[in-house]
Amino acid sequence: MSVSEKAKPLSELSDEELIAEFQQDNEAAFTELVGRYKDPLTNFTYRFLGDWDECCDAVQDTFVRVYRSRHSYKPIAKFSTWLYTIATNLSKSYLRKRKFRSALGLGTRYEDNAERTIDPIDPEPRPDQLADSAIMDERIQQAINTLGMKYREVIILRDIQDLSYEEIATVTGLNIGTVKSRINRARTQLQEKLKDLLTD
Amino acid sequence: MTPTLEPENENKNQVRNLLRRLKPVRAPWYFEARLRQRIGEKRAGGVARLFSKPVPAYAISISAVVVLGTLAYYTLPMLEDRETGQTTPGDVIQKKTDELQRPRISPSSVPSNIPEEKKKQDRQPQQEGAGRGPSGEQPEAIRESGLKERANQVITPGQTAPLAVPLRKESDLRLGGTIDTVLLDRVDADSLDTLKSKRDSLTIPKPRE
Repeated sequence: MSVSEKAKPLSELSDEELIAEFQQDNEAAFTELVGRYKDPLTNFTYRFLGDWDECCDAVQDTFVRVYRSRHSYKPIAKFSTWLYTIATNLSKSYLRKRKFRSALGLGTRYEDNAERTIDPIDPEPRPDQLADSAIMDERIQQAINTLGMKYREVIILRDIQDLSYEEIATVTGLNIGTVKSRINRARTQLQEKLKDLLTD
Repeated sequence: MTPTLEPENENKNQVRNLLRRLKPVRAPWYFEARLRQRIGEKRAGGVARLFSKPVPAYAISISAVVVLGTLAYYTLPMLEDRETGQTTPGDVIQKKTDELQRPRISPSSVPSNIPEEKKKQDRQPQQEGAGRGPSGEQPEAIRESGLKERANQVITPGQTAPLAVPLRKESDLRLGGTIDTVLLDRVDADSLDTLKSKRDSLTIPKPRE
């Protein structure tokens, strides 16, 4: 890294430059990365898990893992894809734990995602309720929760997080064709579940 | 029919727009503080750091040897002593302590038929100062008078009880203000400190007047 780059404030450095700084034990770079990604990751994990507490834990775990495994990052990949890969894997672990608890009857508060289809509680809310964006968000979230894990991750990464197909393929470890196919299927399923919202 | 890879029909675009309109969820305000705390726990020093990693076998071995050695040092002599009857330093101290505590006389055990004048006479030298016996004698005189006289002496409240043991050296008497009448037997350097610490218990409390 050149002297001029070193003089640049951290906020002007790219993600990859920041993680490189952090690999040289500059903790301020890590703080900057946390500031950049805490909200997008929280959004992603909340949409993926559908549970606020688990979402917070998953994002925390993600950053803790970044902190501890910073030296395992190789600059051949974008930092954001590396970060989303960690977050996706941890979120999947949370879902599996939830599924396991549900199977044991230890926690039945969650609607298990798996491959089951659970319709929203109130399929036809009143028009004034639809106007309320919070309720609409809730409807959409419920619909996402009914998707299978493999569809959920790709559609959230694509349509909510705005990752490219290539990035999604890197994060999920799938090839691009499979990614596009899954996105297509996920949209079809959501279209069916949210058709009352789409007719407006 | 194979699905199109990039669906562009109107409804699917609407789904995409719907998802993009979702209100973004933000991290809680305490997120960074909690993260710092969690990372701090991982980096904790001292004992926490020690136990956050596997403890080396040699450290466990050394600790075990130290603990067991310390326990053995203090417990085995006691066990030997009970079996063989040998005297350990701890027993010597205990014995001396018991001897010192033996002549303690409580105010209620003082004979009531002692004349009041006699009591005052006995009490007077004690109040005058340290370094003198109950009758105002010098330490040398106490030694000369011997054990029998001291054994026959009547102890009144406020006085210091003498011990029924002979003196070995004069310095034994000069332990302090209230121990001047204590006659010590074979007081060695180790037990002397213990006796000093016990001297206050030798003074009989004065009765309330």
